[in-house]
Amino acid sequence: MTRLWRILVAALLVTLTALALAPAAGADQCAPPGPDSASALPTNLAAAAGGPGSDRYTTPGVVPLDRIDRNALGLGTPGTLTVGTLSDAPPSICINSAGQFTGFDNELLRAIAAKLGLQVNFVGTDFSGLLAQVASRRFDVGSSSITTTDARRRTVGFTNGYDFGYFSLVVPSGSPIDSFSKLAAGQRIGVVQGTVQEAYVVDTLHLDPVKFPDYNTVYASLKTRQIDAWVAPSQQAVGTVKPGDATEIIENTFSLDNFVAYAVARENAPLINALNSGLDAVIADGTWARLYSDWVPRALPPGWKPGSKAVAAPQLPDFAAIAAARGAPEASGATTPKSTLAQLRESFFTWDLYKKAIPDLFRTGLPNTLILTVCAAVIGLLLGLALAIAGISRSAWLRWPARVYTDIFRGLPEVVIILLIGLGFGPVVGGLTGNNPYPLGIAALGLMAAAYVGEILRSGIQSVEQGQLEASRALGFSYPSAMRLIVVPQGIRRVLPALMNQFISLLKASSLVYFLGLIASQRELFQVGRDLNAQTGNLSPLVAAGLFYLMLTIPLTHLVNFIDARLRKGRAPQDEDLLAEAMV
Amino acid sequence: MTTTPSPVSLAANDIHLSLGPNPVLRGVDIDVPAGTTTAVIGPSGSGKSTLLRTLNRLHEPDRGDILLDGRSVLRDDPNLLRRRIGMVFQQFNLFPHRSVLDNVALAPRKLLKLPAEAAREVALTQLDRVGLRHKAAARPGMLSGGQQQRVAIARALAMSPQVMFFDEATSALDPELVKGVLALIAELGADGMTMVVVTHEMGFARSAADAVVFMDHGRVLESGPPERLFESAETDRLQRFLDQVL
Repeated sequence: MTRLWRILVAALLVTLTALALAPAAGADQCAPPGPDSASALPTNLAAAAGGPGSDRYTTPGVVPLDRIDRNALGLGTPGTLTVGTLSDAPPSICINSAGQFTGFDNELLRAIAAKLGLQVNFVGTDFSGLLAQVASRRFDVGSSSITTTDARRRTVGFTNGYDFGYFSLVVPSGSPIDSFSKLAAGQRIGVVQGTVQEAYVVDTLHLDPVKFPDYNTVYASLKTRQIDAWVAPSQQAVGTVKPGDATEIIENTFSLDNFVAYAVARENAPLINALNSGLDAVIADGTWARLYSDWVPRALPPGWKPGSKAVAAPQLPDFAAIAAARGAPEASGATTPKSTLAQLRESFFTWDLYKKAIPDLFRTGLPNTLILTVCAAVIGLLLGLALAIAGISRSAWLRWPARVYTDIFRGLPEVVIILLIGLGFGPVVGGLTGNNPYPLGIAALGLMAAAYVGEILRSGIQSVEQGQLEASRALGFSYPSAMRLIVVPQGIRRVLPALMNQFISLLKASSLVYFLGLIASQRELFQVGRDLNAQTGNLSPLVAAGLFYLMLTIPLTHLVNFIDARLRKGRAPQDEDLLAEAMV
Repeated sequence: MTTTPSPVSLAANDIHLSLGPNPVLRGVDIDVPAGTTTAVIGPSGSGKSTLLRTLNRLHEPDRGDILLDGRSVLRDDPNLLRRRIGMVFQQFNLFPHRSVLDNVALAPRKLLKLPAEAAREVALTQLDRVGLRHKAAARPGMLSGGQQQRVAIARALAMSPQVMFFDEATSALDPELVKGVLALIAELGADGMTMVVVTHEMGFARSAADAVVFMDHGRVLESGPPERLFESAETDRLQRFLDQVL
């Protein structure tokens, strides 16, 4: 047995060494590219979707900064803006190599908060849950290049605009689709679910898009030609499409009526007013122009400026001239596209990124995954045992609730349970948990595991011969004592392998807590890998995270097999010696 | 030599019991004087085993009364009643996840609240009595059937019961092991234990029992000294039964 292992380990090492010779990783996408990277107005700009008259939401003016009452902003933690953000849309929102949330939107928000004398606390989350969490006041502010739409305004309120959005049409090089007007039914058009682009494809183009959870996945699908086109926010498109990817931004379109703004709970007008005041202040003192030039330098579309209608338009360098001086718009034509094999190798096996990912995975991801899993397993075992005992009780009052609980929690997808507990139950116990989703994640995982563990234990307990209970009771043990001392321990022993499998499932399911939004130090393995993947657009960090999961699950699987064999055959100390002899 | 407390009498009057819709016991009377052994015989399904489980209230009788030492026990805590009545099963029902010693010491320790050391002493004494002190550390699964049944007897005796029940204690044993276990049971009876022995071993019923009860269809059809029942059965049913088994 051990020899086989050694061979496997050696093979793995050889593979990894070979990978070390692979080409170095691409540049960090989560750093300000600087004004020199500026782009002009897209020349292939399709007609704007609406006119300036449709801008009904920008405020005429703002409350002066000195009239803002810092204590009446309705913040969850007084003096601190708790901000829900994402990490997958550099350079607007991203997580940098130091593990901090940054990007244009977040740096601008920091500057605004400084004007207001507030601290900022960034929390990573998923876009599908962001607006709901802002509406439920788990976050004071949502910062994620959120394009304002009427549909979204029904859920949350928005500040004045601080950025604008083009939509870009990204297609594989040489695609017959070269404009928005060429999009048609039957094509696979990728969008990120819940975004304005999805609404645009459905409502304006009347087409049926393929929905993806995040920008990386949709772009990876485009690169491998599993979709025909990607309708993207142009910031993301510009940040993501790289020379040599064999993809290009073929057309842009612009909608003046949907500017980019911060989301705030709808009824929290004091905070919206304060942020608007802060925004006008950072525009007036030049901070907005500086950050904009550093992070997302591109010419403003005609007829649009950030902030309220009262604030003066910011002074920006002539981006069109800078772009023109830099020469040909993009060097993409000059770079020869890489072969598919090289693309795959770079995407999955960039050794530099492994070296970058592994310390974070080890220090942050691994402990969090283990804490989440072990805590949830303890809850699952205790509650599961209670469910099992109730499930075999003679009283229908115990049996039925256990049955209903098991049916519900076993029947729902894990993600749904996590979102229901985290987002639905979270606000109710917000005071208790300090709005920290970590305990809620543990609770959700534990409640879910309990349903399965309960059934496993019940089958184990019921498999113990009736005679064991009878003999215990004949000795004078009460029913509870007989169960506790004799029947349950035997039942658990019989289902140890099944319990261990459940533990492995739980270990993997623990990655789902990322839906609830975790601060950087709470991220588990998958989230650490995903963030680095988002930051670099490379899948290697996810592969590295996968290896960590295997490091945990494979030994556990073999432990299960060992226990299983031992339970079947009984203790046999000679076994190993015989095997060793056979292998020599 | 033995830890048997002063023996008590056991009696049951007009016991009725239904399990679900089926009447299993239909008015059973039984009377076991202190220090005597009563053998219960009868065909399968006649209610013998159920009778034992009703007498120690693993099943609660629908009607009738149970008297221990002349006093009704139906209002007692059934867990306390069962401590006074040891029971040995056809399938031994030892606890396979615990050592032989723990099997015997568990009830004295947990129920009589003996300190671990004292419970160990009690257990070793009883294991000695059944000749298995040297197997104290073994797991039940490593013992032969006969040895397991001896451990089960020691386990019951460790609670110092006033009455012992044996439910077909030798039926699951290999033939060559039956004799030894029967001898042990007979020895207990000779020491003055009040015993009810459900058995298919007619030889044992004849030689070791003070009285024999013949049951059929949930009723006692005949009872009396073994010589009378075996020599001159009054009912056809008993005669036919004896013809089949002897």
